[in-house]
Amino acid sequence: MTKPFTIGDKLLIGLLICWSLSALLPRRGPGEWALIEADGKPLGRFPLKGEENISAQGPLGITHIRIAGGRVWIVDSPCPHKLCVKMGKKGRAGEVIVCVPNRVIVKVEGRRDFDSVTP
Amino acid sequence: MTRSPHKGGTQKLTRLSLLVALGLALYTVESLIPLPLGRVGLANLATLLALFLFGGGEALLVMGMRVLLGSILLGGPLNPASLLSFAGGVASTSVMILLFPLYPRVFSIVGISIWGAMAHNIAQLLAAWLLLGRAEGIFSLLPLIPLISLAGGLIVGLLAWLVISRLPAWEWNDHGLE
Repeated sequence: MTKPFTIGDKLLIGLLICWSLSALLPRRGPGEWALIEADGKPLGRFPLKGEENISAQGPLGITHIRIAGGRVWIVDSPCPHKLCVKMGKKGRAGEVIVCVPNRVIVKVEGRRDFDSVTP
Repeated sequence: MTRSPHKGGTQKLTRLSLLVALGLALYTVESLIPLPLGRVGLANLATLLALFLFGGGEALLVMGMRVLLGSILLGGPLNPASLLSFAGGVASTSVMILLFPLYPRVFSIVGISIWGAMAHNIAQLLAAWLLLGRAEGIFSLLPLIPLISLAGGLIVGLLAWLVISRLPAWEWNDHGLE
């Protein structure tokens, strides 16, 4: 059995490390609004300034989303693992909260987040 | 390629079944860990071992059986988690089979494993995109893929290397492995 690491392995690992580093250091400005999509349909863009409670209807039920203090988060969700609730509060452009079971996506957008969105 | 007499049909069946059981156990354990997207892909260890010890067809078989049984155990065949698991499994197994001829000149088993993890995570992201009604917000998770794939692929690849390098040489040397 050939021992790791061959030259190909090292090149691959180096490439992936560079790719991750470049992706982990994006210039993320503060977000200005939250784009909420439920069941594949956009629900609308909600400004992060101010306070708002939004209900998004998905196949499992209603996901409760709250905006306050310049950030957005999921307060409660009918999905089994509540990963979206655990993802916490997001306020920087390009950040997302995804709930796959209830098909809800919350995406923070700003004016300078195009770098982090376009692959 | 001459096969050793002790590698008869029954023994092969038993070993492939063991690999399916191993994959299933790892898949179940991993599904208990709540991580938002990007699993390490530990179940891929069974597929990788099947590929190196038996071949491409057997790797597909072990992956397919694991996904099928996993979907019955955890939630049902049309459950989103099962569809994601199927997409990831097919993609990673196909990529590893395609790149297997590059072993050992270009990549070791770890390199093949990292490629498999990449394919697994990219396919899962695409499948999640389709399941979510083509919402493009999900592609914001794309920058996480190289990091997660590197970590998962390294862990699985090193484990597979530890396993195979501890097997007696006759277990794998008739497959042209060095």
